Amino acid sequence: MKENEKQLIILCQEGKWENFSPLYDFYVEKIYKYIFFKVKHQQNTEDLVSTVFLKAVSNLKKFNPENNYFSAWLYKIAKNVIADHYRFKREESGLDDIWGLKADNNTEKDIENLEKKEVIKKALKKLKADQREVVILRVWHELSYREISQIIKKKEANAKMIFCRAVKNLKHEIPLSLFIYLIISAN
Amino acid sequence: MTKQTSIKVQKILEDIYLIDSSLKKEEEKIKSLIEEMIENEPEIKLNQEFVNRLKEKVFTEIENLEKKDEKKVFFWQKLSYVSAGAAIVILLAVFLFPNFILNDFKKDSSQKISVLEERAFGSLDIDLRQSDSGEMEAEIADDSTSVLGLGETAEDMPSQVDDISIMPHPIVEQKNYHYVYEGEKLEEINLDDISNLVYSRVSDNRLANQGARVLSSFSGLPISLDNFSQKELKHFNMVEEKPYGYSLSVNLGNNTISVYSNWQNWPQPYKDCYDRECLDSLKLDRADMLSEGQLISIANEFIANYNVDLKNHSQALISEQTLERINNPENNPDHSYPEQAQIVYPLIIDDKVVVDNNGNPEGIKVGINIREEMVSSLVYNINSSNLVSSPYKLIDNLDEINPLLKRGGINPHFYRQSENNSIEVKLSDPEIALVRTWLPSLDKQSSSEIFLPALVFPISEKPDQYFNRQNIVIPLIEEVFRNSLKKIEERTGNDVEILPMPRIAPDQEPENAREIQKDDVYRIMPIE
Repeated sequence: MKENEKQLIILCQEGKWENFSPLYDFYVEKIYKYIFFKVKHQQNTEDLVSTVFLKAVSNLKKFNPENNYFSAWLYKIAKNVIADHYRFKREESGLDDIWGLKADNNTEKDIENLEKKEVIKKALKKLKADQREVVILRVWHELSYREISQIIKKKEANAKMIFCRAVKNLKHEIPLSLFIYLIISAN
Repeated sequence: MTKQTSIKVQKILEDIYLIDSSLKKEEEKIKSLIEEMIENEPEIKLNQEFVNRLKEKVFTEIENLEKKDEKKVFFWQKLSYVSAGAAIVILLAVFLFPNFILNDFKKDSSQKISVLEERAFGSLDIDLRQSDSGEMEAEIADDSTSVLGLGETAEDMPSQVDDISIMPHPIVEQKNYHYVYEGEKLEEINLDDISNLVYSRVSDNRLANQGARVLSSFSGLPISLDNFSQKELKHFNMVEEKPYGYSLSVNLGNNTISVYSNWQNWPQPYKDCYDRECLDSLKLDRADMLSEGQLISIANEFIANYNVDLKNHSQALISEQTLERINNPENNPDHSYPEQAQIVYPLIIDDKVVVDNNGNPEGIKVGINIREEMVSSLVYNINSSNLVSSPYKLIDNLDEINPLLKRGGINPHFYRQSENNSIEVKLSDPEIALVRTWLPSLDKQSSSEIFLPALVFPISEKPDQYFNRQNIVIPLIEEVFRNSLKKIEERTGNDVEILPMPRIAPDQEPENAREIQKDDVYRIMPIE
């Protein structure tokens, strides 16, 4: 998708809006996950995702695809929409209750997954907000450092540095016993 | 680990080493950490219905943006066309909207329920009594106004009646109801067999978008609706200006269609009555009452004539309250036969009937004017088919329900404890149903409709004529159950159900309350 993204955007900007369809299809799930992870509420997430895409189409003509990534631009809109949401609600976002277990009946597996997820959740919670953001965008949303740098409004080298520091912190946050557990269960 | 994940991890590691090569010494640990993160990404399920709906909305917005670019609209230029424009808008409203609504609605009226991740609706911090439309308030209201003796509230009484005096009212003794389950099926119910899904209606603004689009396309207005963006048509009304005409109100904000009798064009039998004699002479009597079959048939005929879609709803039922009022008019507030009957076509979700917090079926509600033998109201939820669901934890054991069950479920009676007046209310075998309630949004500014699994215990034997409850509702979602029990225990204590309230009662209670004389002395009982 990312290779021909620029071309699709230029066509949309020329008024050939049917080219927005593949962009929407590619990003809607990613943006939904990004927002749900932060607001943890289905109805609020749907409202915010709607706002992101309506803002995107309203402002697409102002977007310069030459030097910017569409993905970064879209995530930046999402980030601002979430910030507005919390500014208005005066609530803290958190990480609790995000990792729902799969609804299978394998209790042992469930417990194992839950333990792993607890480890990661606790470790992530201890990171600084910018470190957590970069880790999530890099590892789960698979964005490049260049894209991330545009979202967090920092230089690419800084984004890499933040990620590196986050990994060091995560490494320290995970107790040895759990680390061994991770190693064993990974094998 | 897949090959793709492996490549991804390798790329992340290479990037890190470029910044800090010393980390390479701990490659094993860092690699495991990143792999685990990738594999344990939170599972967030996307509702495909939402994706489709939003896509449609986005492209509607694009269409609006394009029109906005093309047109140069001058505000206020066409002032002389105000009347004509407004008239055409009304015509559009009358002829176009019902059409597109009906088409759109019929197109996808089969129930679609997506399953989202666990606890997708957030915390269910609900006080199920909040939406209690019924019994508790009704009991209190009856008590506080019944000193008039005829059971009518002060507002109901014609101001011209000159012979109102303090008349005796049957003394409702302080009673303490204990609910006792006497069925056999509860032990057979296995919690593992009960679905732990909570359902929510999907807010669907497609119709609101389309409505705004149709209006915007009209160019005869003195103001360009095109220049307003992200617009939605929230509601519109239309009336039939004819004898026995109806008033139709379509609310696209909460997705309901309501039909009511356009009262100005319906007979108003009591409008020239100024005294009790006149009122009594016009009251309906036993011979005016319609049979159950007649009531159902009137409702069904209306449903058929107006093509009301009954998908996701079961057969018509006459409400318990209506049957009670027809069969036992002596228990009615004014001892007269009812003018209205209510029929419900219960909503069915995932093969379970939807009930309100008193355990009465919820769904399409049809009101029948018994005097005219015609349907006088209908309330329909357009969006009965588009739902999402999310798993929530159920209570661990059915034994846990006992403390709530013996108090009368989520809507207990708040009568004073009286050792001499403890009355048993018998409950029969429960049914599994979905209780409809409202979940406030985080900012408490709005709320969404949700449906929670619950057990509904029918009351098998009513203890007295003033007891008008039909069911006891016990929610099964753990947090809702705990919350309900906690709130009731906070008000009533652990064992004793007491809610002191001022009551009006004669100094001496006669054996037959109806024989109290009007010069009896009344006193306010102290609040304890």
